[in-house]
Amino acid sequence: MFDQIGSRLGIFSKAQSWVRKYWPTLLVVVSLIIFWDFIARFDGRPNLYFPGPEFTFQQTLEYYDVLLGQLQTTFMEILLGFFFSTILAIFLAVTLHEFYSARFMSLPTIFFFHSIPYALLAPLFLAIFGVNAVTIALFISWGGFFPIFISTLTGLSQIRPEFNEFADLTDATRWQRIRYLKFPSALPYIFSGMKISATVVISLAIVIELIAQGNGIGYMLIFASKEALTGLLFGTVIGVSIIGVIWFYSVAITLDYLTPP
Amino acid sequence: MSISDNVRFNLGKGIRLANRPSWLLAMAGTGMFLIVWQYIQIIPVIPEEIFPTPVDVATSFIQLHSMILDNAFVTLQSAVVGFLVALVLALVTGTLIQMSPVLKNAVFPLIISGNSVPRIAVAPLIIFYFDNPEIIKFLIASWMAYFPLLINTIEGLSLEDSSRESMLQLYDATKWQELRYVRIPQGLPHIFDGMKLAVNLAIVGAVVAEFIAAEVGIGAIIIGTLSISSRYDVVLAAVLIMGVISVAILLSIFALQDRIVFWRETTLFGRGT
Repeated sequence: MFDQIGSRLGIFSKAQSWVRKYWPTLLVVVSLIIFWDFIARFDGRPNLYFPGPEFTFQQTLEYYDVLLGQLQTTFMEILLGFFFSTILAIFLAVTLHEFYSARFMSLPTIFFFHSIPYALLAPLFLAIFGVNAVTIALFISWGGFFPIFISTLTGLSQIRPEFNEFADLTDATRWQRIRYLKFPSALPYIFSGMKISATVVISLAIVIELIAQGNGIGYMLIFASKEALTGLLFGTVIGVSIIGVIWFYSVAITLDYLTPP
Repeated sequence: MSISDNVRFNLGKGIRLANRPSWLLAMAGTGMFLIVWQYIQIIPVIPEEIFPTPVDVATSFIQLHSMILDNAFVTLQSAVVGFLVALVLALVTGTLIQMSPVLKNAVFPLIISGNSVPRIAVAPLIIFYFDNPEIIKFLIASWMAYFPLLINTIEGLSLEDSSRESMLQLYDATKWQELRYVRIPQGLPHIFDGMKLAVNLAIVGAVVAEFIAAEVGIGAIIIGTLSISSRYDVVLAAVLIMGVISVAILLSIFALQDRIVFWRETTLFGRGT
C-alpha cells in the first residue's frame, strides 16, 4: 500500500519537475494553438477554407479509422526499410573498411549517389518496381542507408591505438579484430547514424507516397487536399509530426539502452 | 580528419596499395562501376528497357541536353533562392534565440523535436493554399532548408570555451563583441555543416513541389516522361545531372568553408546532424 502511494508520488513529482523544466515550452505551444484558433475565428472565411483547431479535431476524428489504417501501412514500410538499410549499411561499411583499395575505389561513386537529392529517384523506383509496399520500403532503405554507412565507416576508423596494439600482441585474426575490437568501438557511431537515419526515413516514406497514389500517410495528405478536407489535412500533418517525434524518441531510447556503458 | 589519415597499415598488402595515389584508385573504381553497369545486362533476368546502360543515358543526355539543363536550371533557381532566404532567416533567428536565455529555454525543445518531424508533410498544405508554382517551390524549399540551418546555428553559437570566456570577462566585452569575435568564428564550422545538409534538402523540397504542382522543372519532366513513356534513360540522365549539380554545389560550399574557416580542416561527409 505504501509502495503504491510512494510510486504514485514519484510519478507526480516527476511530472512536476518536468513541468517546472518545460513550462516555457508548454506556454509557447499553448499560445500557438490559441493564436491558430484566433486566426481561424477572425479570418471571416469558413472552416472549409482555413480550419480552426476544433474543426480539425472533429474532421480528423471522422476519418479516424482510415487514418489509423494508413498510418499502419506507412509504419510497416518504414520498419522494413529501416531494417534493410541498417543491415546493408553495416555490412557494406565493415566490408569496405577491411579492404583499403575497395574503400577508395567505391568512395566517389558512393559520395555521388549520396549527393543526388533523394526525391528525384522516387518516380523511378515506382516505375521500375511498381506501386507496392516493397518498392516503398526499398526507396526508404536507399535514403536510410547513407547516414548509417557513413557513420559506421567513421566509427570503424576511431578505434583506440591501444586496442590495435593489444590485437597485434595477442596475434588476433582479422575476424577477431572486427568482432571484438572494431565493431564494439564503432557501435556508438553506428547508433548515432541510425538515429539520423530514423528521422530521414519518415520523410522518404512521405515523399514517395505523395506521388505513389497508392496508400499510406502521404497519399492521405494528397487525398485530403484534393477533396478539400482541410480539417483532415491539418490533422494528418499534426498527427504525422507527433508520430515522427514518438518514432524518433523510441528508436533513440532503444539505442541508448543498448549502448554499452 | 580525412579517411586516409585513419588507415591502418598493419597489413602487408595495405602498405603497397596505400602508396598509390588515392585519386588513381578512385578513378579506377568509378571506371569499374561504369563498366559493370554497362555490361550487367549479360545477366538475363534484367530486361534492357528498364535498365538503360550508361551509354544510353549519355546519348539521351546529349540529344536532350538543352531541355534537361533548362529544367534543371528552373529547379535550381527556386531551390537556391529558398536556401538563401532560409539561411538568412536561420542566422537571424538562431542568433536571437541564442542570445536570449528565456527564448532559448522556451523554443529549443520544440526545435529539437521539430527536427524529427517529417517536414515534407507540410508540402500538400502549402500547395493547397498557394496557386503560383514558383511561390510553392520557393516556400517548400526554404521550409525544408530552414531547420538544419537553424539547429546548427544555435548549436554552433552555443559552444562553450572556458578560456575564451574568461578572456571576455577580463576585457569586459559587450554582448556584441562576444558574438562578433568569439561565438561566430566558433560556430562557423557548424553553420557550414548545416548548409551542406540544407542545400540538398532545398533541392528535395523544390523537386517534390514540382512532382505535384508544376509544369516545368526537373521534377515535372521526370513525372511527365514516366507518365507518357518508359524512357528510363532520359529520366536517369535528368537524375544524374542533378546529382552532378548538387555535388558541384556541395564542393563549392566546401571550398568556401576552406576559405572562410581557414583555421580548420573540412571533412568529406560533414558531421551530419
